[in-house]
Amino acid sequence: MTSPAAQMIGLRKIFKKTLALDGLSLTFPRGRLIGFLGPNGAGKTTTFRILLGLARPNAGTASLLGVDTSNNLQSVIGRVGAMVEGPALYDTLSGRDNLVVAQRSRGDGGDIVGTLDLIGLAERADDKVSGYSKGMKQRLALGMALLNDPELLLLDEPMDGLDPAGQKTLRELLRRLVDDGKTVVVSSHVLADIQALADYVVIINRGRLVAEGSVAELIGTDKTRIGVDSSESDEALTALAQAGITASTRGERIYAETLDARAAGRALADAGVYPFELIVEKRGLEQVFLELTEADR
Amino acid sequence: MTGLIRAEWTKVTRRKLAWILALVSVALSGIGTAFTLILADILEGTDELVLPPPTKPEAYVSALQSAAGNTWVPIILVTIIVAGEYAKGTWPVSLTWDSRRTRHLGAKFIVLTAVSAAIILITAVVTLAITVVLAEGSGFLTFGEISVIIGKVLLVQVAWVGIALLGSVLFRSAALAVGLTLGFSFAEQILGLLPIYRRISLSNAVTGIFGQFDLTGIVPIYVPDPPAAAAVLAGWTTLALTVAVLIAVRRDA
Repeated sequence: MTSPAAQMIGLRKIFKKTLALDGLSLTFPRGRLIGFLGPNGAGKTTTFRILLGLARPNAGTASLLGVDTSNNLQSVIGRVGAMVEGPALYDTLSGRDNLVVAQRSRGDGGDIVGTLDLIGLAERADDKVSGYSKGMKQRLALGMALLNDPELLLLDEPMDGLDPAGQKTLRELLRRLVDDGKTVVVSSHVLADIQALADYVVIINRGRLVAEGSVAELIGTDKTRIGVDSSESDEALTALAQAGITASTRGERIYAETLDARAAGRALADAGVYPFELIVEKRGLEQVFLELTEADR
Repeated sequence: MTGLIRAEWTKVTRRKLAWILALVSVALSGIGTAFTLILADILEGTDELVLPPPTKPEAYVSALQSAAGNTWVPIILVTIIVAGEYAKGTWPVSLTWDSRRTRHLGAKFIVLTAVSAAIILITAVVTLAITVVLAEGSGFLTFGEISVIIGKVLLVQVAWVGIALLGSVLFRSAALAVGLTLGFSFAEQILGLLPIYRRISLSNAVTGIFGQFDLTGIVPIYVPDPPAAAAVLAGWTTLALTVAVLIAVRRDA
């Protein structure tokens, strides 16, 4: 059986008096584009840092590509590319020299010219990084993570600082990497990015796992919101049930678990109930995220 | 390890810092040496002279002491580069390429010692050239003596690079590391005057390793003989590097 791309069991991390990870256990499956979500301070960066051996957990274990990172990290780190806590670069060097430093530190290998083309910095490769825009720095940091053609990419907020065109290019690049069999984990609190990008989502809050699954599983079924007079709500629920539509009352509204608003409306009309409102509500990752993280407070 | 050393070499040599430090070091030591020799020449035969003018070999040793005494060179070079990596976040990034922290420190230590020693050797060459022109008398150093001098310069640089590396790993901020490590070097010189401390004093060892000679004759300090001085330098280097490695390995990056 193939080991997961990354796995954490019972991770606990305390910074002075702050509990950053509270027994976090989760798995990043292989070959997926994974959105790693959580509010600010949820523990996303700490999780990445522990996976990469930059921080030590107070308890628990972590593994990358099936290798225990606590005692064997070096044997696997060459198969991982990472960008953690923003683009940290050697500002006094050129973009090309930054890649040279990364290449030599990894023991050579990697195509610098190809990487510069890939990240769109070939023309500015010999300029000092201190003169780069935020987006260019972000792309260079990404290039340094991609240089060794890693099996697993861990990217912390990679969309930060990118303009819409840059975001689109990055999305396409990451999707292509996953199509080539790599695993990409992208942490972000910009949920629209993740919904557009990821096919698997892991949500953490306050250092604990809140939910994980495919985007479709987490978002679930879209619902039709129906507004009827409160005196008619029982008849409405009965009519919908007879039409085979699951429905429930929430506040002054009825929520029918169907996208077929026409069928719901017909069932109600047949029963003599005429709604004053009938709206198909598309659920998004943001709504799911807020429901899950607020429920966890 | 070779790859890491090459990476460190790129980082150090592709920025201006080492060149600037070399210029300042050459200027300070060159001007100081020239001033001392010219002053000794002017005061010769007057009552103002505390000591007789140095012979040429004495002047060479003095010039070398002046060059090697620039302990601020390794301190500033190392702390700005290494502590700067902590402050700018490139230290954790480099650990995502090769996770062995001891090897990273080892590569930094080797490259920064080499660059620092090169700066001091350039300074020594310039101060010796000035001495050849300005000092009275005759004679020059043999090839063997020059080799020993290079070895001694390396020993001094190794010690101060080790201490600056410890300061960088400990304070993780270039400004703090530069200030406190330079502060330590000054405080250490003063402590070197105390009988209880002078035998293990780094600054006394730096003076001692080049042989006892003091042009000014003003400060009657303890100067260990070269073997004792070498042992003190080796002891400080080992201690500083051991503590630096322990801190770097145990603390979160």
